[in-house]
Order: sequence, then C-alpha cells, then structure tokens
Amino acid sequence: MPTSESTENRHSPKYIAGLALAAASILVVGVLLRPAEPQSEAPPLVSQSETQRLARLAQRRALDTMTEHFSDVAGDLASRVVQVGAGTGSGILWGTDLVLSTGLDTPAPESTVVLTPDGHLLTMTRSVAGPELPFAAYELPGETPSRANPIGAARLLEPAEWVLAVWHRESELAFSPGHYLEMQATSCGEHAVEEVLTSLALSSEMAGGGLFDLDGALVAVILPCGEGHAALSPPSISRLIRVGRSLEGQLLALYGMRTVPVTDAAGSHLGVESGALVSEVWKGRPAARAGLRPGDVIEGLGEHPVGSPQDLQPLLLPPELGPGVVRARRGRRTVEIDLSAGSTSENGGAGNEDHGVQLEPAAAGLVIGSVSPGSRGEAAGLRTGDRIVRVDDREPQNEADLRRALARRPIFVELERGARRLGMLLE
Amino acid sequence: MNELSSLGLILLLALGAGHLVKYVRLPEVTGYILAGIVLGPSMLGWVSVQNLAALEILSEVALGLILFSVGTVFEASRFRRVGRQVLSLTLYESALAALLVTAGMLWLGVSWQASFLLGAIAIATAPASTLMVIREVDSEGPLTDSLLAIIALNNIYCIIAFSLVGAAIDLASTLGGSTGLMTTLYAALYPLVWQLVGSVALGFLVGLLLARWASAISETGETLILLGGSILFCVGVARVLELSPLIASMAVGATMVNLSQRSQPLFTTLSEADPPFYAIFFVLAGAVLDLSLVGSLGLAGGVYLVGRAVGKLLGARFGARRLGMAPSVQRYLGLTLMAQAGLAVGLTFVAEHRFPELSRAVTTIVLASVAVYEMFGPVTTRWALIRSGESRFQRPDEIAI
Repeated sequence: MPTSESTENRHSPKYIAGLALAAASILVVGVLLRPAEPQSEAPPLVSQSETQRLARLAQRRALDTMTEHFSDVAGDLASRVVQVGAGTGSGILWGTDLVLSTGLDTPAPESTVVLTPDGHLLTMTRSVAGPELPFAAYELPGETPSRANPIGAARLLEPAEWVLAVWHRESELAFSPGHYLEMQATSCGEHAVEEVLTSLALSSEMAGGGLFDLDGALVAVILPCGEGHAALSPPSISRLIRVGRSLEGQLLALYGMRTVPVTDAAGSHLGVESGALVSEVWKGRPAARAGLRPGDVIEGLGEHPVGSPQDLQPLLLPPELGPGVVRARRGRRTVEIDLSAGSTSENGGAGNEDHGVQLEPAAAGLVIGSVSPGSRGEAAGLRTGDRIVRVDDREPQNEADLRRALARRPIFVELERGARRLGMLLE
Repeated sequence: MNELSSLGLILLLALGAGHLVKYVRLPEVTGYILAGIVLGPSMLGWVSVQNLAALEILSEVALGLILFSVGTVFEASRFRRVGRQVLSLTLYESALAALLVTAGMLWLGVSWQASFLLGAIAIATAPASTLMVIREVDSEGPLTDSLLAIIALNNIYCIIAFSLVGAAIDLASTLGGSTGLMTTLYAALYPLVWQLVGSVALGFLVGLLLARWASAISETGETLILLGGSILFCVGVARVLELSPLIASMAVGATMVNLSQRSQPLFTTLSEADPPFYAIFFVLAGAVLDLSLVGSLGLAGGVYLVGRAVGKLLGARFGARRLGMAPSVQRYLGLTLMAQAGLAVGLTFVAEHRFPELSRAVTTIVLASVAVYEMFGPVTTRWALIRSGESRFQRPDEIAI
C-alpha cells in the first residue's frame, strides 16, 4: 500500500510541476554559469602555412570566377562585335543599320562582308568613309533584322571602373579587362575627338573592336588614330559620322578631294569670280589620278555651271548618271577632267601620272623647316614638315627660286602634307 | 550524386544487404554497415563526403530515436528490480575494460593523458547496434534485461569518465601556470556536471511535454508527429546548449515511460515507423568508417582492441558471478558488449578539439578499432543472445507453435 501511495504522490500534478520548475531552473542556471571559452588560446586546427595556402587558393578561385564573369560579359557582346572582311577584322554594330570598322584598306572598299553572330555572311555597302576618318561605316542590307543597339549618351564612368575590350581574333571573340582612367581631348587626323583612356594597351589587333562596361554598354570604339590606336567615345564617333555624311565628307570619300568657296581675295588672284576652289587632293584617289590638283577652280560639271562647292552635288551620283566631264580653271587655261576615269580604274593611277602629278624629286628638299609665329604662313595654316610643291602654278627649282616666289603676295601655294596635297592662298 | 538519390540508394541497398547477410547468419545491422562501407568514400564513393554531411541530420534523428527507446529501461518498477545489480555490474565491466586499456597503453609508452582518454573511451558500448540486434532476434530474458540497462548506463559512465580524465589533463597542464587552480577546476568540471544534470533536466522537460500531450492524442500519425517533433527538438536544443543529446534522449524516454500510461502503444507505433531511419543511420555509420585505418592499427591499436574486449568479457563474467546473476548473464553478457560506434567517435572529436596535441594517438586508434568493433560487435552480440536461449528462435513457446 505505501508503494502505491508514493506512486500516487509521484504522479500528483504539484509534484511534477515542481520537478519541471527545477529542471527549467537547472537549465537556466547552467547556461548562466557556463565558463568563458578559453578557445582564443587554443591552437588552430590547421597550421599557419595551410591556412595561408587555403587563403591563396580561395583568392585564386575568386580570380577565376572574375575571369569567368568577364568571359560571360564578352560572350553577351557577341551580337555587337562582329567579324568584318574575310575573317580579318572586327566591327561594331552601330545603331540599327551600321557596322563600324577600321578602314581595312586605303581607300575603304565599296563593299565588304560581315559574319553576323547567327552565322550569316552578309554583304554590306560602304556608307561613311573618308581618307581622314579613322573608321569606315558600312550599311547592313535592308533585310537584316534590325537589332536595336542604342548608343545613347555614354554613362559617366567612375575612375578605376572595370572596362572590357572585346574584339575578334581570327574567328574567336577575344576580350581583355582593364580599368577606366579618364577622358581626354585629343585629335585624330584633322578631327578633335574624345579619347577614353584606360589601363589597356591597345594594339592593331583590337582595332575595330569595342570597349564596354560590365553592363554591356559601349564605352568606346577602338580605332587607328595617328601613329597608334585610340578608344574614341561614342559622341565623337557620332560627330565623325555626321562629318562623313556631309557633301564635303562624301566628296572626300568618293574622290579624295575637298573644295572651298572662292573668296574675293582668291578670286582676284586666280582670275575667277565664282566656283569651287580645290583645296585638298588625296594622293592615289580618283581626283588625283584624274589629274585634279589644288588651285584648280571647278566652274562647271558638264553643262551645269558651278558657283560654289554646294553645286558639286551631282558628283555623288553613280558614274553612269553623273555629270561627266569637270571643267576647271587652272591658271589661265581651262582643263577638262573626267573624274569617273579616276574612280573606275582603281589601280590605273600610273597611267594618269602625266596629267598633272609630275612629282618633283623627293630630294628637292623644299620642306618647311619652321613657321614663324604670327607670320602669314602660320595664319594660312602652313606647318613644319609641309613640302612646298608649287607656287602660283610654278615649281620652284631651288631655295633661292622659292624665296623669290614667296616674297610676292598674294600667292597661291600648293604643298604636300602626308598623303595629301593642299592648296592655300597666302595673302 | 545528389542527396535524394544517395538516400534512396542507401535504403534500397541496406535492405538488400540486410537480406543477404541473413544467409550467413550475421545480424542485419552488420549488413547495413557493410553496405555503407561499400557505398561510402572509402570504397565506391557513391555516397560522397558532401552527401554524408548533408545526411548527418538523419543520423542524429535516428540516434535520438534509438536512445529514446533505450531510455525506457529506466521504467521505475523494472529498474527497481534490476537497478542496483546492474549499476554494479556496469561498473565492473566498464572499470576493467578502462583499466586494461589504460594499463596496456602505459605499458606501450603512450603518454598518460592519451592512455587515460583511451581507457575512458573504451567504456562506451554502441547502444544503437546492440538494440537493433536485440530487436532483430526478438530476445527476452535476464540477459536481455541486463544488456538493455547496461548499454544505457555504460555510456553515462563513459561520459563521466571522459570528463574526469579531461578535467585531470586540464588541471595537470595548468599546474604552475598563470591560470588560477579554481578557475581551471571550474572550467574542467563544469562540462561534466552540466552534461549530466543539464541533459537530464532537458530530457525531463521534453519528456513531460511528450507524456502530457500524448494522452490527448489517439491517432497513430499524430503520435508519430509528436514523437518526431519532441526528439528533434530535444536533440537540437541539446546541441545548442552543448548538452549530451545521448543522455537527453534517454531522459526523454525514461520520463515518458514513467509518466504516461500510453507509453506502450507509443513505443509500438515508433517501432513500426523507425526502421528506415535506422537503416540510414547504420549505412551512414558504415560509410564514415575508414577501412584503410584498420591497416594502420598498429601495436597500440591491437592492445586497445584486445584490452577492451578482454576487460568487457572478464568484467561482465566476474561481476555477474559476484552479484549472483543468472548463468546466462554470467556466460554471455561480455560478448554482447563489444559493439562500439558513435559515442566513441564523438568523444574522439571532442578530444581532438580540446587536446590537439594528443589527438594523433587517440584518433587513429579509436577510429580504426571502431571500424573493427562496429563490424564484429553486432555479430558477437547476436551469437551470444541466440546461444543464451533468449531469442525467439529458441523460446519454447514459439518452438511449440
């Protein structure tokens, strides 16, 4: 009986509640009494060198992950960086219908092929080019599904922000990461442009490729510029495209010539009243091959009279619809020049040599050694290194001859600068 | 292979292996463990180290359930009957095994710290595999009763001995050091008291909850949910509070069995639902065994193996005889105590963390001999239970049927 009674006691709610309370307080007190962990002094489970090795391994894995990320970003850009020419160069899809590439040849070919990312080989026609432009822009054929590639205003990059150069090497997409440094105003040929400076060393292989931020926005296009290469900002490129699309730019691209309106001073010196004064002719281009030279004043295209450079618009028509012969005033004579002859015979320049480009011996050495500040030469735009070829339709034979010729005023000077021949009036 | 397919493979292969080993009269547990060894990283590698880590939580659940069952041996009426005898008997076999192992290690020139740690770890007997074998052969009788009580007590003794040795090592290393003696003593003995008292307190609270709630539930499914929830909660809280999940789970079982009238149906329900967990538990236990360690057992490992086995055998026999227990207990108890597994490995990791300078000697020996004991322990247990005549194969009433 006592046993069962004690069992009863044991199972009474009060007794159990007391036990539960005791158990709970044991747990609370136990947690509170826990001694401070002496773990700080415990030697690490792995050795120092092992820890370092693991840390280095983790770092390297992080770098691998980073490279993988760059590769992914570059892969996403495959639709924007295309292969131009017969697998030889890179091009950037610009807007919806243009592909920007370097002038692969000089002059840029009328048409070239592009390998689209989806594997189609398309023929593109030249749209914007020019002997002084660092790029040639080609128009994609109309049936190409237009991909919107907004160029937009370039985002302001943070210094040291990652940028990724992406271009085509052979048939592979190549990429190289670098840091953005700063924007710099510079000049590319005759044009003032904005260059994006980065930690990347730009090489000729990258030309035609693009510089992107990690979100895939175009930061710059890598193009030949002067002696080397430069990454030009999209606004600069847009401006250059506008220049290339103007009448002046198109004439330059098509014939390699530039004309200016006849000023009063020039008109009285050259004995004309109106017309388009040829101020620049690029060697080896149709105009030069056809025999046009600086100082010529274009007065008529076929039957149409030419009063100003704006009247040269018909020259942009295809040869079969074109105006035909160009009438130009050279000194006291009027010469007739067939520009289409120069443009059709791409390689026939040599045959036209006798028309006008009788080059003086290179050793003649009539090279401008210096231009005095404030002189009329400087005012007219003469530069050190320019070679004076002709003064008022006469070729100076030696230095004394040249000095005599230069002493007169005004004079019309024809000079050679790089691949161009320029004509200018020194007043 | 991902976790789910690993798990499926584990269950299917465990079942297959369990069937296969019956032909050679080995316990199912050994089949599971062998399947684990084959699947695990040390052989085929179908269950990878990552899978093992992910599935470890299932092991913990299974161990919690097993110890919950073991805790039922503390039922008041039953324990009053065999309690005093079993407490002494456990002391005999534990002390002799610890003594022989420690002496053997000292004789081999192992440092006293490592020797005593190994001696303490040698006390442990795997409750899970032993319980599984008891269930498999469905044994009943004085040997089974003593065995159940001993595997419950045995592991408590082991934890106490281990904590005491740890405290002694801490004290010895701080003698003459800058830290105060009292501080060290407190830091060294706190885990011992905390693990015993705190774990029992936690187990009691959870068991109380379980018992009270179980009386309001009659549906089998709900009972399982309640049971699973209580065990998981108990093991989880024990981990957070750095208590012993082992003792806490046993305390839940002990509380439950003493407070609830419905404990019997509850344990029946449990034994119907838990086999998949046990299969996973033993396959995983096999998978983590590193067989290559057995080769590196060496002389010290051999001494540990033999010392523990002889200590258990002689201690059980001598103790049972002195206490005047049944002849079957005297003859066969020692053989049923061979299995060693989870607790020994767990204590090894504790030792590794607390005494890194000793870890090399202790870890290799324990992990290698666990691989041996884990495979052969259930075999000797099964053999002993059957030979004692307590298994269902020999019970007269069943033979009559």
